[in-house]
Amino acid sequence: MLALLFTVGAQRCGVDARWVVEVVPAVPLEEALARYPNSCGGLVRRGACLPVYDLEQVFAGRPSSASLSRRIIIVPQSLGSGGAAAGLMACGVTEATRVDESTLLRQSFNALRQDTPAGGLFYFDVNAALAHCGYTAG
Amino acid sequence: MQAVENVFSRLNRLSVHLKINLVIALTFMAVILTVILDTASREREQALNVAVQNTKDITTFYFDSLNTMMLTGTMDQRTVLRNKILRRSGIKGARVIRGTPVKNQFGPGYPEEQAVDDLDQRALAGEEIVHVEGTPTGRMVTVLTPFLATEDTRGVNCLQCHEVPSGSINGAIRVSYSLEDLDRQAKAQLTREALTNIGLLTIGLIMVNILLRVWIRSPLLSLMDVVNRRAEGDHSARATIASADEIGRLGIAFNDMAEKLTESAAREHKAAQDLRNKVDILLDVVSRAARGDLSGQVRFSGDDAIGELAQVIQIMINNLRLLLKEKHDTVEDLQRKVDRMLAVVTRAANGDLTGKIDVKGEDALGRLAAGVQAMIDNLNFLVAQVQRSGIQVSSSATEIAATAKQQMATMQQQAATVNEIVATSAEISATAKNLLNTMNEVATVAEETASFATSGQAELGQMEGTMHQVVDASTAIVQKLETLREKAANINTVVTTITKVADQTNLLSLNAAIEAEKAGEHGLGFGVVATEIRRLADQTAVASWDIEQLINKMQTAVSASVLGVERFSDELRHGVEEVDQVSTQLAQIIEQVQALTPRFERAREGMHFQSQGAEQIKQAINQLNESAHQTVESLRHSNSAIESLNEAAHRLQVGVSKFKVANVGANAGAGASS
Repeated sequence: MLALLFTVGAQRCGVDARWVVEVVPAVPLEEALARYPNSCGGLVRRGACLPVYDLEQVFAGRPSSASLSRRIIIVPQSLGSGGAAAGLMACGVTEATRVDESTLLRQSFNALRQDTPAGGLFYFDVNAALAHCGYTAG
Repeated sequence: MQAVENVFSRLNRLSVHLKINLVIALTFMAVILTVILDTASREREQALNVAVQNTKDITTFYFDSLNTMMLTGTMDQRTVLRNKILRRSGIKGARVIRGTPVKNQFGPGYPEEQAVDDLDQRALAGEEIVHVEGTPTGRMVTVLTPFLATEDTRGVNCLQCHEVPSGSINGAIRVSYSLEDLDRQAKAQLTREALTNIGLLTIGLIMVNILLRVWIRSPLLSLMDVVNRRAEGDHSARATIASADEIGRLGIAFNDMAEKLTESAAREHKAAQDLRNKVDILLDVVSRAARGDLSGQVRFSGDDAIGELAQVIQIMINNLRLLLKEKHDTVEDLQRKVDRMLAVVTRAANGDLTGKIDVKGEDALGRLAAGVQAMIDNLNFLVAQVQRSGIQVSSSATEIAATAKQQMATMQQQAATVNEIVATSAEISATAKNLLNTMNEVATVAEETASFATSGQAELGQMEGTMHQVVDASTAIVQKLETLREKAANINTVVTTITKVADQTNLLSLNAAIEAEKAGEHGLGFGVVATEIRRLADQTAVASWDIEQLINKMQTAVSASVLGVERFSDELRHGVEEVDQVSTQLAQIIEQVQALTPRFERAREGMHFQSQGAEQIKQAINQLNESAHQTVESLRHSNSAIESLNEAAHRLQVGVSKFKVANVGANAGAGASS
């Protein structure tokens, strides 16, 4: 599968490219649009307002630092539905690579809080992540 | 010989009963010793004989038993026999020694059956041996009997079994027997006998002593007591006759002798008493005459020597009495005159010169009295004059002494004052010297300060020039750094642009790759292109990021440099101004210090003069002090002279006052007229 790579805490993570609608630069967010709990702001895309979650803040417990490689990954509500549902802000979003699905680490999100990374690529399940963020379709 | 004589003389001094005891004890001890030693010797011999016979019997018994065992075929059990023999009392060793023929026929046998010493060898050679040796525990008898192989050895034919010629020696038996028990018994018996004999001897001696005391010692002591009493003068002492033996006869003879001695002594005593009475009377008369009493009379006479002596002594005493009476009258008259003169002279000797002698006459005593009277009168006049003069001298000397003491006290006060002045002037002199030294140091320091300040001023001028040059140079550096900063900013702008392009490219390629994935088979080629584009964008981004970092660092450094150089430049400018001020102030200081130096010189001279003056004052006062000391010293001398004068006058007065004087004028007149 093709995996889009990013970093949360010390851990390098990969998300299935089919779960990615688009990658956009981390433009200044509209804080007034943060209607969802846990979100760090809102993003207007094609007339719709999307909640944006800072993965660093949600899973590693500290706000992400502003850098050029910090981008927002637009994800759908479910696999195969073309519409955008939310934005996941992460650092180190510069690479997409083809990986063997069986080598991925499938662990709970608690592994992302460790200071030392586990060996291998952490499989980032978008569905579970959205549930963890407290996202509900609205 | 000398030793033997000594022993005999010592024995002679012992009492009779001790001598008798000694003789009896020595004789009986000799008899007892001889008997005991003889008995002991015989006992030992008898014991030995018994032991030898006993051992021989055992040897024979041992051999016969062995022989029996041979015949009954129980030779294997011969150790039992040996042990039984060894258990008998007194047996210390019992063994069979196996001879060569037996060894050849039946084997070597037990280890104790081998020949070990010379005795064994001799026995195997056929000798029958009885050996006696002394050991620490007592005597030991060892008997060795060889056994011969014959056709009839006490009823047994040895040659039946032993394949040897008749008479050869099959072996020997050796048995050792200790006489320890026998000897111990013999010794115990001997000890008992000796103790019994010594006890009997002691009882015999005690009986002899008792008899000696009753028959000889007590009568002799009582007779000796009587003789002693007689010798001490007891005439009634008589011996008690208790027996008819030699001691009894000695008592009778002593009693006769004592009777006769008492009678003759009574006669001689009476004659001596009579003679002593007459001598006593004569002695009394003569001794009273010797003491001066010539009134004694001798009241007996006779034709014997004593009677004549008494008459002559009576005549002599009468003549002496007449002669003494005449002498006595003359001497008494003379005595009275001398007594009167002596009284007057004694009073004069005690200091009373007022006495008068009333002895007249043309004889020697009369002239002596007149001369003594004249001498006493002259003495009276002289002593009176001396008394008056002494009082005058004493009062004058006292006055002089008082005056001298006053003068000396004044001089001592003066000396103390002078000492204080000397101390004070010495302090002034020392202070002046210290001050002078300090002034010299201050002058030197001022001169040094002036020279330092001058050289400092010159160096400050040079420094000022150098600082101006530094200010100019730093201004130029600041301008160049400013140019550098502007250029760096330009580069930064370009790099930022490149970075943004790369970022956008990367984003684009990511989205392209994702879209290609979604397109499935159709997007494969597009996906590859997207990957390549992304890689290119990554490289660009990395390179531009590197350049950006470099430029940032350079800009930071330049900014810091510019700030530093500007601050330095400001400080330099400020420093130049301060150096200017310091230089001006230094110039003023130099002027003032230079003006100070001549004033120091003048002050120093003044101090020097003052120090010299103080020194001179000190010397003058020292001289004054010395002369004052001399004066005090001489006053002290004169004072002591006056004191000794005073003392002499006092002594004179005391000496003269002992004399008691009569009216001087009258006596002077009398002295002049006499």
